Amino acid sequence: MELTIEHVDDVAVVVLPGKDLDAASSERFKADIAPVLKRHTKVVLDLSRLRFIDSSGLGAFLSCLRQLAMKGGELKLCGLSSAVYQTFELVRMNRIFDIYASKGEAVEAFRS
Amino acid sequence: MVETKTDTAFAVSPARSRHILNAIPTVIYVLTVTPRGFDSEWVSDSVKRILGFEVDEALAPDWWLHHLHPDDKDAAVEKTTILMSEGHLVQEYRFRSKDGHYLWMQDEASLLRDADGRPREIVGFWTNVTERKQAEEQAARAREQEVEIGFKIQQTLLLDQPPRDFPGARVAALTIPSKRISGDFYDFFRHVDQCLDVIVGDVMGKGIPAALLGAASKSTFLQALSETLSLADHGTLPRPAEIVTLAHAKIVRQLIDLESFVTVAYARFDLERRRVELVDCGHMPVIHYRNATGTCATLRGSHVPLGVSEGEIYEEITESFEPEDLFVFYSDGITEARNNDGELFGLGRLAECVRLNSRLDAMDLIAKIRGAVVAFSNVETFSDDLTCVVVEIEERKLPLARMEREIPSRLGELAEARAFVHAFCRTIPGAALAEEATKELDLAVNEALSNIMKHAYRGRTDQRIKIGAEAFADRVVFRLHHLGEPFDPAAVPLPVFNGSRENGFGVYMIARLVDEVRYLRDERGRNCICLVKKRKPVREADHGADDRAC
Repeated sequence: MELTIEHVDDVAVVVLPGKDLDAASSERFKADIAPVLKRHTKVVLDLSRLRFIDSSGLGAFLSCLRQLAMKGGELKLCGLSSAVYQTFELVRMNRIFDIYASKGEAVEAFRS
Repeated sequence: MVETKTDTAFAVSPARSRHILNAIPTVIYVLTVTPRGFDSEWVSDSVKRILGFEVDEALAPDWWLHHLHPDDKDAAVEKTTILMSEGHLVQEYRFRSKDGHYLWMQDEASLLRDADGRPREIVGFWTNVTERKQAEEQAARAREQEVEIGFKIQQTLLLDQPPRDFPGARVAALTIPSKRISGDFYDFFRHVDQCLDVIVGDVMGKGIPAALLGAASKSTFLQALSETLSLADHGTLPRPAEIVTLAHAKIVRQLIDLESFVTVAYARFDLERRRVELVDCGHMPVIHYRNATGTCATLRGSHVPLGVSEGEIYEEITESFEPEDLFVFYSDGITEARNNDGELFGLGRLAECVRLNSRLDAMDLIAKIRGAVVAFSNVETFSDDLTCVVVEIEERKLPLARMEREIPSRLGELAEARAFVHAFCRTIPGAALAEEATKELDLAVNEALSNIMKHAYRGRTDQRIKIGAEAFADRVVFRLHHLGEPFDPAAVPLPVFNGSRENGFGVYMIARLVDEVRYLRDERGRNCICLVKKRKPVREADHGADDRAC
């Protein structure tokens, strides 16, 4: 499944299409997101469809965060289900990522 | 007569006597006893050849004292008082020769008294015993090395960890190695979760040869087991007697050639049928404590040890048991431990110790047996190895549900595996696992599988992983079997939580998500990651609540 990318001004909002982000699908995700990270500095990942994430999925998000940070960009996440959020909490990644309840709030956060 | 001859020999020619004194492998010396101590009066020319010093140098005051090895000096000086009181002294010490090397010297001195009984002079012989000393030291080092090697053989090849999670039986083992290693060995084979084979053996003799024979016997049993297993009809196990007979056939010639033999007790505990089948090859009788009667009986067969009679056909004896019964296997080191009066510890004391402590857990019972033998013999180190294996039968709880699935080692299979976890946890008859716990177990299984695929199989996708699931009233257990590299969780560094590393979370996550994680290796070389999730049974209605977005 392709990533859907929506542009709100200079912010790229990427919707993750799959329900799962595990060791198999995160490789694919990393490849798909690479051009977006090259072209943009402000990125929102919309995770509202995601129901399952494992350590490889978290690793993929960390990789995005680092690539953006290196060129002075920022990454924000939104729409985490409770199961996905719990996995973030399990390894304290909720403290590393900027997490918002909705897409609107995440995009708004870039303007302030 | 002899005296006269010697006197003559010396008297005839001073040159001859000089030659004799120089040629002997000994330095002879004479000291005069004075009120202040000893004055060197005379020393033979051989001092030059043996120690490198001129006679004049050797006669200088305190020459002896100054050339003693610092570590030996005090003792050597101290011992001269013995010479004065006893009249004779033999001692050994290190002495520095002229070229600076230390030599081991044996110093044999006698005190001569005058007609009034007053000490007059000391006559002594010094012999260079360096070669003998070096040989002795080398032998001592070799002995130490043998103990060291023997200990390593024992720990790595002869003794196995008793299974800790065998449903229906608690197993514990004790070994106290002796000063010289012997060939005691034990091994455990588990057949699915219904039968447990316990093998306890003892090789005649001691030292590395016995230890190596023990290791060879042990691997022969493993070989015999796998060969008979591959020939057995699917789903049936080869009988212990078949395994022992085959193992014996494989090793009997070598044992006879080496003039050695091995006593073995091969027992299979069938926990479903509640019976034990024992092949006793001349081993110590097995103690069976019956909880119902509170008494101990012994189980013994009539076979001779392995290596005694070629072509021996072994048969088993069968005995029934009940939950809370105990079985104790032991080596003769235990029953033949002696007290200060030379009395044997014996089977009676051992059985009594088992009876009195039958309520204890297998591990604690082992500790009691050890304590009893040590207290009886009043020593901490034994001349023979002490080996003991306890099998405690538990009330067996059958799982409420059991399922198995095999997947290829491809990351793309993870989703399928997670679906299996969900399906199993939701369909446990009458008691599905809570949704929250299911998700945690699901993630733990996912992480463990992903570790197996990436690390144990190093990314190879043509391998297999077997997933076994079992549900009990109080817990759900997932076992992941693979043939990849064994995994040492202790070697994994703690994860970094500051976002600077993208991986390394898996092991930590698994430990947080389930109540128990065990990394095991079974008798067929399969590695197993065992994940246990404890639970409270829930009502069906609690299910189906889907994720709410936060």
